[in-house]
Parts: sequence; C-alpha cells; structure tokens
Amino acid sequence: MKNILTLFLGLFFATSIGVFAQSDNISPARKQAIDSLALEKVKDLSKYISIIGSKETQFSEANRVMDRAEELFAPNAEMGVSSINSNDIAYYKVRRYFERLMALNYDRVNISWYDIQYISDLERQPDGRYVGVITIYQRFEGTSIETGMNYKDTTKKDITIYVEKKQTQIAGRTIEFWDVMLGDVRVTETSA
Amino acid sequence: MKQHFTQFSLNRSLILIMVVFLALGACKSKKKIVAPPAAPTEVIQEVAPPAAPVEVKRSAEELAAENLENAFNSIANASNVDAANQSIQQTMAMFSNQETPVLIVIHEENGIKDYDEPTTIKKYLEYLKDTKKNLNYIVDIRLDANGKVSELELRRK
Repeated sequence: MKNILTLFLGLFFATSIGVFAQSDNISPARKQAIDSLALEKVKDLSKYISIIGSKETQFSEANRVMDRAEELFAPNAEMGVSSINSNDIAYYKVRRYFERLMALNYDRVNISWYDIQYISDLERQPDGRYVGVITIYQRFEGTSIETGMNYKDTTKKDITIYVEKKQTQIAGRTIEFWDVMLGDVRVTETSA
Repeated sequence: MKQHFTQFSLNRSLILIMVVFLALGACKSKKKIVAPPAAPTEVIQEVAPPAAPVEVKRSAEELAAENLENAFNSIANASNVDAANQSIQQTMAMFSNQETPVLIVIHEENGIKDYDEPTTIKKYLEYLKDTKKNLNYIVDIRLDANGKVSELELRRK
C-alpha cells in the first residue's frame, strides 16, 4: 500500500514538472515572430530619429514623433552620444537626447541607421522576460551653410531589448500582447 | 379391317387439316411495317439571351475594409507630410472616434494569437506616415450602428 502511494505521488510530481516546463517554452515560429517584432521597433526608432533630427520637420511634428519615440523605451533608458573630436561618451535620458537632437545648430542634418541586427538573441530570463541586444550603425551628417561647417561620423551602438508578455483590456476583453521595450543605447565605436 | 382403315384415314385427315389450319394461322407476314419516314423537322436552335451580370452584393464590412486598405497604402506612400496628413484626415472620418482600438496579430498558433501592443487608429495612421511602411493587412473589421469602424484587427503580411 505504501509502495503504491509512493508510486502515485512520484507520477503526480513528474507530470506536474512536465506541465510547468511546457509553459516556459515557446515554439520556434512564435519566437521568430517576437524577434521580428523587436527588430521592427528598432527600425521604427531609426525613422523617428531621422524625422526628429531633420531641419525640414515642423516643430509640432517633431514633438509628436518624440512622444512616439520615447514610448519605445523603458523608463530611465539612456542614449549614448559621442564625437570624433572627443574620447568622451555622454549619456542622456532619451527625451533629453531627442530635444538636443532637434536643437542642433546645423542647417541640414541627416541621420540614418543601417546594419540593424541581433548580436545577442532574445533569451528567456528567470523572471519571464526576454532580453537581447541589437546593434546598429549610425551615419550622422550635419551641414552649416553659414560657417561652411560639415560634420560627419559613423557610430556603432548596442541597444538592449526587453520583451515581456502583458495584458490589457480592449472593448471589455482581455488582450495579451508582447511588449517590446528598448533599454540603454551604448556607444561601442566612433569613426569619421 | 376396312372400318379401322377408314377411321385411321379420317383421323389422319383431321390431324392434317388441323396442322394446315395452324400453319395458316401462324404464317404471319414477315414484312415489317415500316413507318413512313418522318418528314424532316426543322431544328431551330434557340440562342439563350446573354445572362444578366449577377451583381455580387458585398457587405458594408468588406467595402469598408477595401477602402481602408487603399487609405493605408495612400498614407504610407504619400509624397510629403501634407499629402499624408490629408489622407489621414479623410481616413479618420471612417472611424467612430480617433481612439478606436487597433489590434495587430504578429503570429497565430493552435488558435492562440500573439499581438503587438494595441494601439489606436490615430496613432496607427501616424505610424504609417512616419515609417512609410504598410506591414499589415485587415483581417477583421467591426462597424457600429452608424456604419463607422468601431474595431479593427490587422495581421502581419
């Protein structure tokens, strides 16, 4: 009788562990969809930065886009800024970075991101979040007609990505969604 | 003896007569009655009049979805900000309000949908303008009593 009870308890716990293990795993197709979603958010950020920095963008539009860009980031995330004229790297809260970007004293500013790709795949953490790193190359060109100043640089930056399953209420029903948050953007290389 | 012979002859005669009668009765004319050939009938082929084109009646939702898809493409492909803003204004008129929720399915598996963060139609149209890309298509659309879009679900192409 004791042996039967032991066997029963053992089987019970073994199946329970199996159930918990299944809830941690997501299928490769689902993982790929989440990877693509996060990558797309970084590409969206590149468009926003380009719009904010452009001197052709109206003030009201730039402010609207800054709001959209800021929503991509986790709270207190910081953006690294470097220069070929200095070894220092300054970090600003993202909203402050966007405001400085919009106020740059050039007549023409062109910012573009390229080679946007994962250098560290999104991996599940013990707290259930997925964390990864996406790297980008940024080409910056600033032109001042009055002074004839022309500044160009290429910067390599690493962006920490956080993805988490969250819930919200839409039209009276609960919707689960994948929340992509960008973390700090750290400068790793600067060149002319 | 003579009587027997006479009776025998009578019987034979009777039998012979019977056989003759039977033969006559069975002898039918083998000539088939061939019906005279029918007069050739004039075959008139009636050409059916061309069928009137069947008007496929589309639902209000289908029409709204088609108009919206065109609007999304128009905004994403606008040549400048002003043109995009104009298209956005025209598109917003299709919705019950600018906070109308927009759900975007990024993946579906075993009946479970994975969504991007829900947004509003105003933000989504501005997103199309800013990024100049139309990555999604309409899979579900709900209209309110006034024929305005009250809910929209998109899916990644």
